[in-house]
Amino acid sequence: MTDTDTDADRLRREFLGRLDAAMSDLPHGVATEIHDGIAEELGGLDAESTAARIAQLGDPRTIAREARAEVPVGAPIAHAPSEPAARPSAKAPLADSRGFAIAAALVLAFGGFVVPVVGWFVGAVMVATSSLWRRWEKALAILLPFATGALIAVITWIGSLIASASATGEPEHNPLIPSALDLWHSSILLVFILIPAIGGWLLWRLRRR
Amino acid sequence: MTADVGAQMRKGVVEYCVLGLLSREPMYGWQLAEALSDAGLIASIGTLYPLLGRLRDNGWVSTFDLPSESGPVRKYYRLTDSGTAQLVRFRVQWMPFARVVTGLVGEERP
Repeated sequence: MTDTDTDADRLRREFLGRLDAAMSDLPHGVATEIHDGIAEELGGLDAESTAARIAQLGDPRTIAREARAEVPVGAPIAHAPSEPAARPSAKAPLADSRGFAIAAALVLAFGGFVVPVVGWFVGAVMVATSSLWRRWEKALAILLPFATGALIAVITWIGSLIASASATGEPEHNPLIPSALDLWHSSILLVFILIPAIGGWLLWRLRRR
Repeated sequence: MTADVGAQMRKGVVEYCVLGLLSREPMYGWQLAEALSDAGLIASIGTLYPLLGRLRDNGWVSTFDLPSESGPVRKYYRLTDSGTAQLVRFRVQWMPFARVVTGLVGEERP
């Protein structure tokens, strides 16, 4: 399965590379639209389907020639008025890259252990940048630690309220009510488990993409 | 100048054919490309995106993103109110125009 996915990625990368080269003299906006439109169609397919789609698309030079006939080089393009002809969308291939997405998941999972807090934020930005996850997946991966933290804070607060309400001059605490220290320790443990688990889940969601 | 009569005609109507397709449902680029290729209106996907760019610049279509079942987010195109009005104007003129032209050039008998 992994071999098939790798083959699909390679076919897709090769085709888009040839397409970008063929469209290098097209206005930036047009080239980007074509590149992105084809990239979205080829994304998520297995090797066989990718090869079939590429065969259907035909020669990238023909695609570029057809586009050139529609928009003469030098004609003003409304959504990219003054940009010179350039290789389309420098960021799109990286954001589409499976390698980048894997790196993003790993940085999100373990970046915080290397550089506390900042490492995790870098991972979160990388995950948000990648186009290989859906919006809800990114939101869940980034927001779940905060939601969990908020939940722990609420439990701590309720626990302290109960503790203070039941305090009748006896210094010892009810063992059934977690103390702030217990919760602090559990939250650290949770973060150590939860964040790498989220990274693993993101990697799992990447399969066949 | 006398090159391909069909190509000239296709060029004149393909934008309105896209509006017609989008009047039924929003569609993404590949869907449009397949429908137009099957109808012999475009030769490749290279023709489609500059055309869609013009329609968007005219305010006749707009886009929105929708995740696909297979993974990546797809960009869908849909008709705007202005595009719908433009399509209605074209429909009103097309049939009388086609009748007039047919009347002038005559019909080829099979």
